[in-house]
Amino acid sequence: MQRVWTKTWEAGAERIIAAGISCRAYMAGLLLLTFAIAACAPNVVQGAVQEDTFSVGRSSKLTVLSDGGNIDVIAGHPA
Amino acid sequence: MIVVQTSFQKADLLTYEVTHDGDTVTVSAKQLPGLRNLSKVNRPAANITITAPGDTFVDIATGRGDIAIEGMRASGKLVTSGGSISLDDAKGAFEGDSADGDINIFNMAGRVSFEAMNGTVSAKQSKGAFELATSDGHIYLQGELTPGGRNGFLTSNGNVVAEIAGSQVFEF
Repeated sequence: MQRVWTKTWEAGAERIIAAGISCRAYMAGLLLLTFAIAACAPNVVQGAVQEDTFSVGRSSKLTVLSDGGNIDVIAGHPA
Repeated sequence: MIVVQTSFQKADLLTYEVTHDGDTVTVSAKQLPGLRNLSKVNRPAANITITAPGDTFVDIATGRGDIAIEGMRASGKLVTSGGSISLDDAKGAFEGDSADGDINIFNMAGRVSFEAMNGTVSAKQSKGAFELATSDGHIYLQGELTPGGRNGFLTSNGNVVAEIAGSQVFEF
């Protein structure tokens, strides 16, 4: 009787270990997939800089309308 | 010449456009419609740095973010709904509002009219006419008032500290 119980316990433990390994593999796969999607997404540009240059006259006007972000205006280039 | 340099955060959630019409340059960075309750890290943002002739008129409004003006010699309007405003080494007439941010004016010559909602308003080493107000914060003025200018200092919950230089006589 005790031998049967031991065998049952061993079999159960093996199943738990197998399930743990399977779970870890699944989580690792999910993490890799997340990294892959983030790396391939073309529009998520962190820190990309766009530069535009315009010639203006002396009575120039600058309008900025933004929903979010810092805005710095520095006197520099002549008209 | 006006140079606009912009770096993006979550650019796929923004519509960004720079247009040029005669002597007017317009920069627009709008969040895509339907985006609500985004966490701070997921909010789109366009951090814009502009170099322009000093005599350019500026009209700037941002929903979240700070506005900094340096060395401009014309006039302008500056509004931020969540951030600070700084005006450094400027001349002319400037006005604006900030919410949840301080307004700092330094080495200014001219006329300013600014109001902060929940923030300190400070004008230092400046000369001109000052209308400064805040709903919850202090007001500091250290500078010179020009004769005939319109001046006013108003706070609902804070102190007003004024150090007036010059030989003019004023009545408070």
